[in-house]
Amino acid sequence: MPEARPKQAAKPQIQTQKMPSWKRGLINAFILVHLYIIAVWGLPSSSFRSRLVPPVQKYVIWSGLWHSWDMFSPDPLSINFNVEAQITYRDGSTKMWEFPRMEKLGIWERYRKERWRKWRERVRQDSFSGIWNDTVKWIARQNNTQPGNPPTQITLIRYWNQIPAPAKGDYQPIPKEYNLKFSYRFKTYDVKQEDL
Amino acid sequence: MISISGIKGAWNRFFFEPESPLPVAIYRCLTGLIMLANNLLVYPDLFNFYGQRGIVTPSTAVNLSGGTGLNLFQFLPKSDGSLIFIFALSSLAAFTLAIGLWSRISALVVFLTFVSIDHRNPILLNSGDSFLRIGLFFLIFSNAGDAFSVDRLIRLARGKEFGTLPMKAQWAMRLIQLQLAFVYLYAFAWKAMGPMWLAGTAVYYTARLQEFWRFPVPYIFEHMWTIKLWAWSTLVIEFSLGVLIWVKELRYVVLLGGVLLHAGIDYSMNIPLFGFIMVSAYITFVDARDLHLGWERVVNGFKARSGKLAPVPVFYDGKCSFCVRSIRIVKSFDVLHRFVYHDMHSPKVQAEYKDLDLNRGLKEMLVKTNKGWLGGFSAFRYMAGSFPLFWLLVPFLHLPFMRTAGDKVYNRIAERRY
Repeated sequence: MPEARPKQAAKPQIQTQKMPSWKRGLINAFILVHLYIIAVWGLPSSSFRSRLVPPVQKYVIWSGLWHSWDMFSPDPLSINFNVEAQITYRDGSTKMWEFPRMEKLGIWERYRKERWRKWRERVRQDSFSGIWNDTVKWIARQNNTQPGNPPTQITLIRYWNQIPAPAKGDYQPIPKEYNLKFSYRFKTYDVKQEDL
Repeated sequence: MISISGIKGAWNRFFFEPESPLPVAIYRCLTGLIMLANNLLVYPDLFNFYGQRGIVTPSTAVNLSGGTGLNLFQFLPKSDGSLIFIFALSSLAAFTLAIGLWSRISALVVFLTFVSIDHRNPILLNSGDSFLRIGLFFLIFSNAGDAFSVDRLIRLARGKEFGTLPMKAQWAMRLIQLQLAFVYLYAFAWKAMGPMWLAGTAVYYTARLQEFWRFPVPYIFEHMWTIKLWAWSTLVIEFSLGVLIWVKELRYVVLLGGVLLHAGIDYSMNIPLFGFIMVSAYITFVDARDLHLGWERVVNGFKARSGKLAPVPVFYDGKCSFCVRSIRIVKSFDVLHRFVYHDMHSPKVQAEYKDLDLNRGLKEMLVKTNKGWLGGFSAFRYMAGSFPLFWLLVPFLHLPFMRTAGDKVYNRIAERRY
């Protein structure tokens, strides 16, 4: 006679917090929606992502749950840059105004002013041309300090240089400074009275 | 083969198994403090960043990516006064969030004000801001006020809660964990598409971006082999934080790798608060039992160093419900476990402490120190010296007039306790 199979040990019961079924259902729906957002929104750009995003797009943008995790990627920036504004005053004189440069600030100052770095990074890019008018108007107001001689024209200039590729050999010393040898005037604006 | 009931069971266990609120409560404290630090950093440039005539005007912001959506400024007058109001509200709520006062409402207010400020000028934001915003959103739904909070003290005082922390489903904390893991998984996926990261030269370039320079990179990291090691280690750690963090046995090693990664970034690159924002969320992955064990080790080490090994006995009137509730609150401050609490009506206690003055004990709480018995305000003052949260207050408790004033207040409360 075949041996009787031993009875399976009873599975341990899962202890979960007791709550009304409608509440559990609501929470489950909430979790599912947000799990979907977590999993889909941060995906690297692809046609796959483009197909998955639309159902939640309006909600995510409205609620402020948008995000991107592409820090220093796919590849980090390989240029150093700076942005300056050339200010022309009514009397024809000119002055150069430099956007905050973190590397020229003290340790605490650069920590406190980091968001100015982000602003400069955006202003430099053509994809953020939408903020250029506000930028030049703000610079004009900041530099409207001479009575009867207001700024009349602002020109934004970007400077940049490629970071040299790694040299041959193992030792790769970090230079103390980089010369930014290329420049380009990317925005000129005639300042109006109401801008000041 | 996996069954549907198996999936359902795993889902329920993951999201709804009752757990300690300790990790998410610590995350709440840290998030409140980080928000306060963020507001302190922003404050000097508040009007330049977000004012009506700032670097980006409100009419421009709405046309930018990330510039539309939930925004409290829409409901307020278009003036810099509204900005001051939102900013002050954000700072106040960040403080109450850190101390755990009206925890859920505080998280909601911080989230709403932070989202509004972010939508007001989205060009200033980085990934740390995004994670902070999402973390705040999930904190609204969490039980983060169940520990380390003024909310808990209030519940203890009202007799709605007893000594142990309430075990509840921590599904909101699970979502924070999942978000954190996906941050790293996708950060890895993005980098895996970059030739520089794969070749190991990415860190060569990031270390040479002047705008991010902070402290000088040590000589050892100016060599190609260490540069490549750093870049590839970043990939390994980010992948591990996304995937291997879910393996129980590897969790703490992976978290340690994450801490080292952020410490390295924070040392060499000027990205304020980013490392703190990310690492603060690691606490949600630490088991509450390990937090207790770790704290016990700290306490025992502290006791051994200070030579205060034996707990000091405290005696209270166990027949007075007010006294019992008060002792529960006192116990929650006694994080160094310096005291042992006795109901003076217990025959066992009376037998052990023959010199216990029961009549005095009915009037005031008693503490038996090496130098003799202390009661009432003096007992409280003695105990406060052992409660870290009270350390700043202790010098004031020893001012000349405090003894008289303290005794009066203590006696007044004691007389009305029944």
